[in-house]
Amino acid sequence: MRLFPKPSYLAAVEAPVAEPDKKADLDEAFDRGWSVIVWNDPVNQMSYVVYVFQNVLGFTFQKARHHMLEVDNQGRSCVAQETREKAEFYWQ
Amino acid sequence: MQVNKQLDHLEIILFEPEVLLLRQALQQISANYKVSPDDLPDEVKELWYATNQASSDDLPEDDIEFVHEQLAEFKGENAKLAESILEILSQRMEMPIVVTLSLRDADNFLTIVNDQRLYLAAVNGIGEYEMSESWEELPPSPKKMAVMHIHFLAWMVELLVSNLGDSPRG
Repeated sequence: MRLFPKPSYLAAVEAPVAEPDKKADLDEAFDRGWSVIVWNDPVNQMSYVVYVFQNVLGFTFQKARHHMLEVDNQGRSCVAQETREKAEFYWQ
Repeated sequence: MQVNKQLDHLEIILFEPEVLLLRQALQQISANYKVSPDDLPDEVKELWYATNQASSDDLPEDDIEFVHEQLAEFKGENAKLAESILEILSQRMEMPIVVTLSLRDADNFLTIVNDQRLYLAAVNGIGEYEMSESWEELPPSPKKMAVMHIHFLAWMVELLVSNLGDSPRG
């Protein structure tokens, strides 16, 4: 939760202030420090992985293929660095 | 099997052996989709819900539980789609059978087919070796049958992906 500068016509409204522990929790949740890592496995097909990267992560075909090959050759690929909420969405 | 993309839908044309295999796959997956994550075999739970991986990351328990609930709900919706396609496959007697799906449903169907591949691999202990070219050397067994089913479904995934590849989701 961020405290935005109040326009004058809202001056009468008290902006909520987060408690220190909750603020730390919220800051951590919204910090883009969560890596989304895709691991290799012997069953998922390359074409399917590329398709998912394009449709879920919005990659171009070239970028999707690059990350798919990284998964295939190196065992894993970091495909996104996001807020915790978005990273969990990608996981779903 | 053929897949034809039209403007706003996909046509999946299936001949008898394919109908039989797909029917079996859909019966199995729609039943498993309705099973609560906690009641699934561990290996399936791990593949579908990444339970071990999630618990080893620093994700809060509540978040993990929420994602699992969302995933289970999504799979529940996909169970309904699987059943609607099963109904088509069961009611029509003349071959080939044409299954028509909206692009959104076709995308979800792709997920269903892939989930079934993962399920078969998990419960039959199918890994790198079984998925390699050496699978034909496996002795006749439920495992070998499962590998054949996985490869049949892989063919279907390839056809779907090649037709959906440039379609927007939803």
